[in-house]
Amino acid sequence: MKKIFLYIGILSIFAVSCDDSYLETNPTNQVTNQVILTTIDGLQTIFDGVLRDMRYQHSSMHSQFGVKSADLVSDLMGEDMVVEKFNWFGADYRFEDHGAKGYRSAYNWTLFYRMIFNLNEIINHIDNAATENEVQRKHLKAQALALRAWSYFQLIQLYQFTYIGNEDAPGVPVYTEATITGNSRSSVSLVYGQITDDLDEAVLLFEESNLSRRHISNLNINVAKGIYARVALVMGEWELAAEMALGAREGYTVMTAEEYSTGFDDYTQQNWIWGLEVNAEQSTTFASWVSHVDWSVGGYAGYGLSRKSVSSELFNLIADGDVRKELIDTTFISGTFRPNKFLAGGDKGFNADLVLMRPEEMLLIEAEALVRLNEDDKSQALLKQLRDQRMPEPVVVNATGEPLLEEILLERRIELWGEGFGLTDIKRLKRGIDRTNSNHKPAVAGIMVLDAGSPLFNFQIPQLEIDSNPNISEADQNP
Amino acid sequence: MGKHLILFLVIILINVAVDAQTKSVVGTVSTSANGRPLTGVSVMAKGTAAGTVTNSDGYYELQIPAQSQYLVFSYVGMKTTELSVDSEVVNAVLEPDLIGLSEVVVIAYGATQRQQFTGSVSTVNSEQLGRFQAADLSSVLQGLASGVYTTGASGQPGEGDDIRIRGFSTFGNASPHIVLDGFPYDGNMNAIPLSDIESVTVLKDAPATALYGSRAANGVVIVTTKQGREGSSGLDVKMSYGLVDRALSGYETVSPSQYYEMQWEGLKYTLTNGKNPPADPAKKASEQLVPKLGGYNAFNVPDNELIGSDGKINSNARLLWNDKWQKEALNTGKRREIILNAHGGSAKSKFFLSGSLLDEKGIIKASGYKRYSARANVSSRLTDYITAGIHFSGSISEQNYPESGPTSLLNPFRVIELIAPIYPVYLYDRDGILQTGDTGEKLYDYGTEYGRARSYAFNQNVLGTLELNETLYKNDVFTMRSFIDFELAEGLTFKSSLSADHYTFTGLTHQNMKYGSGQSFNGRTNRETWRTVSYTANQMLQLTRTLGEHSMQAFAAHENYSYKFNMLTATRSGFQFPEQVELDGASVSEGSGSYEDNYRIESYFGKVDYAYNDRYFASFNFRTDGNSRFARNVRWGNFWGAGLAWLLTEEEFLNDLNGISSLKLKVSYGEQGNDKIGSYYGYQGLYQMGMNNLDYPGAIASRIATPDLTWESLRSFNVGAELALNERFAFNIEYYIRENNDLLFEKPLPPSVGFTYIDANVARLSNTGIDLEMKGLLLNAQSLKWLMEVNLGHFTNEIRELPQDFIITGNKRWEVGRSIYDFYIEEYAGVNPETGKSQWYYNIPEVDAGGNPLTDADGNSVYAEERGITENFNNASRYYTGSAIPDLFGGVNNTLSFLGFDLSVLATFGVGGKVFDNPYQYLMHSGLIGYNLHTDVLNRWTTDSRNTEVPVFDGDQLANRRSTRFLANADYLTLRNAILGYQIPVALVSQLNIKSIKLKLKADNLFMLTARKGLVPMQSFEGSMQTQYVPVRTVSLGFDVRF
Repeated sequence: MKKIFLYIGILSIFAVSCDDSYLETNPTNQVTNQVILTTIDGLQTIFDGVLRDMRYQHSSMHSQFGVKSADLVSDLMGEDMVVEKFNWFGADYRFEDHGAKGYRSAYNWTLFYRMIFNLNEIINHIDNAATENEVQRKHLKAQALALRAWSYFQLIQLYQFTYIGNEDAPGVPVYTEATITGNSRSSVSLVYGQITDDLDEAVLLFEESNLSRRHISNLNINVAKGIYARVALVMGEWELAAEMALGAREGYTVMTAEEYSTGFDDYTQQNWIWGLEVNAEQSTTFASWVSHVDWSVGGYAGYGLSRKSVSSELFNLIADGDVRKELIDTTFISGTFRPNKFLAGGDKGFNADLVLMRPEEMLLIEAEALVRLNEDDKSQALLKQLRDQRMPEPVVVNATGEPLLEEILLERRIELWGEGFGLTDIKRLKRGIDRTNSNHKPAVAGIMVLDAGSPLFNFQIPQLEIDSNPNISEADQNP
Repeated sequence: MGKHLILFLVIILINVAVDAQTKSVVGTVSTSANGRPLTGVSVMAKGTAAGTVTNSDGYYELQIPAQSQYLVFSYVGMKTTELSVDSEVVNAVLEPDLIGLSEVVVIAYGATQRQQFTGSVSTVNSEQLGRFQAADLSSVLQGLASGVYTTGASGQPGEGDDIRIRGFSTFGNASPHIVLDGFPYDGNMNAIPLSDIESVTVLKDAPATALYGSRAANGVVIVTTKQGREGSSGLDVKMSYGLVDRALSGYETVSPSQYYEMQWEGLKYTLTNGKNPPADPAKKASEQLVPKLGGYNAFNVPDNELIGSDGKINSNARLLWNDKWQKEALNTGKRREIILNAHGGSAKSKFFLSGSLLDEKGIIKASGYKRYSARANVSSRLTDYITAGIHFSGSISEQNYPESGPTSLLNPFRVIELIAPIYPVYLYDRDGILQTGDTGEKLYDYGTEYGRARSYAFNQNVLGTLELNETLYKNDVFTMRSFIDFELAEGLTFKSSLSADHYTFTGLTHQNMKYGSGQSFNGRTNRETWRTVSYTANQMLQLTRTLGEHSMQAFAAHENYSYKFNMLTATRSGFQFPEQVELDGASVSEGSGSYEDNYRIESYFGKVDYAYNDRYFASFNFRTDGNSRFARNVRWGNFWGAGLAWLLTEEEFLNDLNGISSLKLKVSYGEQGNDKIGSYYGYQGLYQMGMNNLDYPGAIASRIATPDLTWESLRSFNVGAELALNERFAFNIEYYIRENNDLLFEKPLPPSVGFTYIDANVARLSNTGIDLEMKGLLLNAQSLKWLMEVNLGHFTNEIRELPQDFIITGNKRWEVGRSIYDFYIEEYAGVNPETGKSQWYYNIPEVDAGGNPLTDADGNSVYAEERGITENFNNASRYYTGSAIPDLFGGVNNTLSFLGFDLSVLATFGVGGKVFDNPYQYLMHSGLIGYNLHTDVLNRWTTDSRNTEVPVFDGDQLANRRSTRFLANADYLTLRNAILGYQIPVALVSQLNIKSIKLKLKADNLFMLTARKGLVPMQSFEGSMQTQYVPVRTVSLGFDVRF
């Protein structure tokens, strides 16, 4: 029996013991729900993650780089931006990628709903999250609410026609809490109801917290009011639109022609209400907005693989001497209308900043709302205020009524060219497109004319949604 | 777990320690072939641990337990012989084992005689491996081991293949578990030189694999390195030098003049059939042709006169340049290998030491592989009851790895196949004068000079870029395997083992500042370094007992495994000097990151092997794994395997049957797991860090918590028969059913909830098949021997359960009842003889009287039985059009030896299955500007030649859309390996104090036969042929010297 003790002696030397924690491992580049959702600092980290996600490259496809790729598609589905050569975004330009099985329809859908999931988590955990700074709690919640409103506003404008006249049409599913079961399409008016509820609360919380934002990418009361102005314009709430637009540009002035000509690549040189700053490290390089639009950076546009031009029709509608016409180069390659508005080659390159909201747009919303309220004088004054900064000499604006409205709408196309208002304005104004009397090439464009209300203006619900959402079936699909 | 208590109880229960009486036996061992004494023969008292080996005179002395009745004599290449101890002198005469009947095979946590094993294994020995010139074991297994199916076939130096054992056991990573010298191996496969390997065992069924528990379901490959042998020592030196070239020629493509003619034809067609046709489309096409092609006119005639209005090339046209991309890009590679092996052993200690150098230069200049490796395997019997040993190995390699992405314009194999023949490699001016640089070197054409804008790969020249770019991978792998073994009592041992692997990868990818995608950044470098450190600690108690006709071997063990992975990556751009490629030479930081992963397993396992009367065998093994990949409540899982075997030839009723040397039947069943589910932390709800907004830290939801997520399980059944005839023919046939359950699947979610999928154990697969191994000594004369070995595999893969009706992934569709690699694409319906346009089949929807589409009870559309034919691709329906899985695969090896020569030839093959030929699809376009054309396009439809499968060349950019037109038969035959050796007569070399010299001429991939020139069907399991590094042929001459 002595040997037994020898064995036990040997075994106890070599037997390696593992305690219970041996099998507990955690990632080092991800954090758990338990850690991140319980403090305001954690929720702030998620909010910054969402802001980054708005300009992230989400796949190997060079046409999927966040909200500005959605904006680019909005312009490409209009008539003022011309594609020279079939490449990335070619299918969008040809209205071939927004069907149920299209990449774009799936991409836009997942992009905004991913934002909404993360924002919902912030909004639903923020009231119980630990902080010693109640002001920060309100400020962050306001931002999350305003950005959620913005996300739903983007979705509803893509996947259904405009508000007026379609109030009872199926909109998009609305979620305010995390779930893995899909909801049915809420009606358009319910979606807008969610949006305005969020905006109302956001504006209130911004007022209460009264904290200045830390960065141009963050939302503040100006941004919240700006989003509200856009929403009100779509809903035909003209007084509200004018009021909110005025509030949004409070503290901002219209850019001078000189500022306008610095290139829309560096927010510090311009006068934006809301934008996304990019640095070299976080640039998505070839898969970026600037790569596709700016001819001066060695991306798709720079290499001539897929240039975006200004429509010659629009070019001809711009008055000579207008700085915005001066910034369209017709000599670079004869027959092309090279937009130098976004010229980033001189300053920032691939890491050009991305504009989301400017005081000029707010001024135009206000002007449009005022003319619709028959306050032509005030509207004329606003239009003059903008144009005086674009023309070499002060201008006279004397149109009234319908012609004034048309002037303002034309001014939007000129001033906001390439900023993502193409499709949404067409749908809001219930207009069609006509690409014929312009430099659009039928072989590249595919579709030259679309009537107002064409189903092609609506994105279809992605097939993946229909296949896996028990509450949305083929019967609920957009035509 | 009260582990110590359990071990204690085990000791108490199994310890029947009685100090045994012993007796002594002596004798000599010789061979029946020539009567000479055999050195190093293992002599064991049956059922005990008592044993020794014979000395140089074939003599042995042994003390054995008094009750021992039999001695077992075994020696490599000889039949194991059992003799009863009738006296104190037992002499043995061993007979050569011509077909490996008494082979000892390494299995999970031990070794066994093949004849007694109840499970399913295939083995590959060092001699077979020695024939190859591969850097990586994975690329030689198919054809040597049945049931092993590999793909890859890349000629990239140092590159291996992907391995699948007995079908595809999961939708995810189905690679087998790799074990080196007994413990999990986490290094790179190519860090183990083939010359260090003694044997490879492929474990295929439950009794073989279940001891690897939650890592066993994809099969296991055990690599065992060489060990010194008692009584034989020496030094082996092997050197070889070889040349490398392309094993398979490229696609057949058109000449420059044919290219212009075809593109002209397409232009003319477009102009003629366009909206506002010009008055003279032929003339207009001639004018537009060269500008359309980016301004490239390879001939000495004016641009607009290159093609006449008859569509023919100008008869005066002479080529200004005729650069061949393939010729310029490819060169003859070289292969050099030096191996030193020292080995030896005494009664107490054994050692094997090796060092080797492998230097491969690929057929693309920028590709190569260089490896230095060393190994020391030693073991020693320290006292009469303690044995210890350790294996160390180190391998340092450098691999130049040019870009190989199938769509990359920097992938040389893509460019040389797909670029139009009119574009020169080098820069020529408009008069065709070659441009040279300052030192007279030829300048490359980047497609941008002289007002040209090349339509293919503008601002790129893959040859120039390969010179300026750099991709360098460094792999350092160090391994250690150590053990100490205590013989506690007769037949009872305790063994403690520790193994560790250290693998460091250092990668550099540099895009140059002058041309291509790096130009926009003034050059760009990415550095990636990762390090894997893993260890396994194992404690095992082993018991061997024989009682009369009963013998039993058993063990119980505890093991813990720990794996740590560290990643560090950084990118910078903005270089000042083109020669610099390191990060310090660049000014702009484009990001950096690091992370660590930890993965751990703790296990308890055991095994019992039982034999009765040497004819009935039973084994049972069991393992319980706690695995850190899963949540606490579902972390522990049980795995087991059981097998039975019956050696019929030991039965009296078969004694009378002449000619049957051996016949065994076996059956097994068991359950294993697969924990390779993609994430180490799959169960946790997580937010991904690093989503920073400028300087503000950011995170975004990356995973929904799935606390019930668990390993994939496999239930496998195997039945087989092993038959040997006349000691010259051996057959092994096995039938298996493998049911893979709880397969992890990305279950789709409606994207509106914020995620597109959630991981769930929801799918099921099955693989059913047959493995067949045959071996025959066809000729067995004194001077001429011919051994033929055949192995064949066949399996059927079937999806048994999915979370939804079907899932389309690329050109496949997953559906219950189908395999995971069933093509689901448009079916080509030939050319419309009237219009010349491509046609495809489509399903015609049934409509009711009102013209509304009909639907069935499930709401699905109803289609007419008869299919329609359409010229509109958008209307084409998709159909199941065959599987990528071959019906039969395997290899045939013939070994002939006569006088001093031996010749061995291995052919591997696949029969059946389809492959989608992507490059051919590209080359069969109808007017894609800048892309090359296959000569098959010359058979296009014309008004004079309507009976063809190739559509009209109409300038349609999308004419070559995906369809069965590009689906080829995947059959192939490769002369995988041939070796001719000559042994210089011993008499000649013995004066030099050399044991032997052997000269060898080796050839890998001597030829390949596939359905189409250029097609490489064995690139991937899913049956997709891409332009990647082509297979290479290596022919080398070498010698082996034994001192």
